[in-house]
Amino acid sequence: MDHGHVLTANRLSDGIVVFLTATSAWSEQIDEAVLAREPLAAAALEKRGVEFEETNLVTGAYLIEAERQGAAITPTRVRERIRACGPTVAYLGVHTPPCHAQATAVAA
Amino acid sequence: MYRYDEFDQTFVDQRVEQFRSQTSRRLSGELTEEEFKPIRLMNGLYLQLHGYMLRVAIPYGTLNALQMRTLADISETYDKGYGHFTTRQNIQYNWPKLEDTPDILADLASVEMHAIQTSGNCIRNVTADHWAGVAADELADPRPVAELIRQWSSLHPEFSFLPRKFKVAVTGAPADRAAVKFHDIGLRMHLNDAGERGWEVIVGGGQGRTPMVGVTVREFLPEEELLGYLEAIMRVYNLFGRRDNKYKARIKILIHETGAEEFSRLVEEEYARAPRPSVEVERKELDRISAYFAPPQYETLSALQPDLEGRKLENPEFARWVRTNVGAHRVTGYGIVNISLKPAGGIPGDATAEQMRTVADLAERFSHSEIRVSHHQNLVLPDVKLSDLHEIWTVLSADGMGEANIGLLGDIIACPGLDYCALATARSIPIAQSISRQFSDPSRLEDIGPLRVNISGCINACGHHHVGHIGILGLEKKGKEFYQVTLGGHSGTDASIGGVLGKGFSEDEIAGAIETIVDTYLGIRGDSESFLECIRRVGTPPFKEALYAPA
Repeated sequence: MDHGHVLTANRLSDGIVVFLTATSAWSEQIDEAVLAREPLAAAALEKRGVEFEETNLVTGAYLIEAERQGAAITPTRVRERIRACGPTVAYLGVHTPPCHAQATAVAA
Repeated sequence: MYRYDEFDQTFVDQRVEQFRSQTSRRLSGELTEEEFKPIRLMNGLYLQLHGYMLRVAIPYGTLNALQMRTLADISETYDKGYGHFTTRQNIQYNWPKLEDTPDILADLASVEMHAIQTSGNCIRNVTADHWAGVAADELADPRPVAELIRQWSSLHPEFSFLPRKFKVAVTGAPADRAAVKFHDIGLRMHLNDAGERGWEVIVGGGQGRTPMVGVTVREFLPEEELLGYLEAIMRVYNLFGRRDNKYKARIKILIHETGAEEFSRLVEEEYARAPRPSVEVERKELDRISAYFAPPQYETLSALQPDLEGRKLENPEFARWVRTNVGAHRVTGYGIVNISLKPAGGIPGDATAEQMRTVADLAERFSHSEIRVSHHQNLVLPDVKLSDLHEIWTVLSADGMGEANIGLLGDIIACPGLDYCALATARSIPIAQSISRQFSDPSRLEDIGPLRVNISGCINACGHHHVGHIGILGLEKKGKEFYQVTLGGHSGTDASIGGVLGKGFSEDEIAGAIETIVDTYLGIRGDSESFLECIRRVGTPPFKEALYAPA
């Protein structure tokens, strides 16, 4: 299991939660995020977040603690697990797609 | 209800266009987030856990059928087909896009609505008794004064940058349904011996991390002095309220730190000093506003309703709903229909676009087009003929809104919690769901009697847990959510703040803990003794014993 940090933000135009990938794209799937295992790598991620904010693609970028097991990335804190997957409750009339971190959040 | 005049409409329309331009400058990068954030917040647009959230003001919880239909349309056009009615009588959309928000605001403006002052350190949407104007026990409709305060406080330059947010609630009835003792300013109407209206001014109540019951600084303020006096309170707060610490910035802390007597003295001094004519309420203006709230033409109806009685005999479920959900109207032959947005296992306060339209249709057909939102996160049809109750109940039941649980254990207040809120420390909705599922048998709920369960997902207490007869506060420790239980809170006339019982419970344990508390109550209650009365008589020991004593 790898432990480290993932950079997350909200997309400026629609507010949706996104994660920075290894190819410097923003994905809605946390499993596609790049995991920084060293403090220096985490700092570099954070710096890239500031650059993206300056180009007004995302807003409110910050690092979260997470673990990677196989292909799945799970944030450490409950808050971030829910943020990565959407509400744990089935909201009216809307189907929530299954999400790895979600299952962990509900089980926790 | 109040209708915009030309000035109101122009002001709101201009504001929409201003925000449209600001949004496009933000999207193009001309404005930074730091510059834009206070602007979007002034227009009700927050950034929450999963995205933007738009909070729309429903002044004193009153809206008409057309406005409700527009809220439904907005939820479908720009959001995910539902909205969340809040504990401050507003509605929130959980998934609006920034780029759509100017269009949403334009749609709202087309039906005399907006999202101004639903955020920020200003005087927020004024809340009122949701039975205002129709309750049998009311002295007079408090909404003209609520509207007057709304107009006075909207973008008031002196009160746009207060130390912290500021909430006002009003009631015209002796039974407090508006929680006036838990607002920065609570106003309660009284009549003097001459039958003239005056207001008891209660200041410094609130919940959050430092819950306090407000103190009365004036027993009877003549109505025409109201705005001048409120202005004096606001000035004292603006001057002496703390700005060094966000958590100590509310007026309740100022009153606590200076003492109620000294605070009162400062207010009276400022009130005596301030030039009176400029601030005195013009009777004319209040009369102008009051005309909008003139009661509809009621029919002369009989108190005896043989048809209704027949329906109740035929259908015990309908009879139960009439008992639990219909309030006493001041006009004979009419009732106040309280629509529960708390189905067993549902999300408190959520309504789909379809449900909103159903309520709008019912309001149009049976309630002079008027609807209310209650701070308990339910809806109200205020002016219903008793002879129409059965049809209304049938329509509501077919659309998942026929629950007979108003004021009972299933009628749970819950904030959005960690499922939506960026500030939350734990989820509240799943807790409400598990409790309302556990207590879904309506005859059992009725047997238990009046019992308010309020749930907040953090110490900011949007779920009013401090005033729940049973309060539940969600916290996080070492990556796990847990829930602290309080007993004995109450937001009515005899207000009290709940006391913590003991160590918290996990998500899986909480419904069982509530079950134990309820069983304990059922075992020791006296004849027709309510849960709250019982707690006040015996205190917490029997409940602690039942919950924590080793088996």
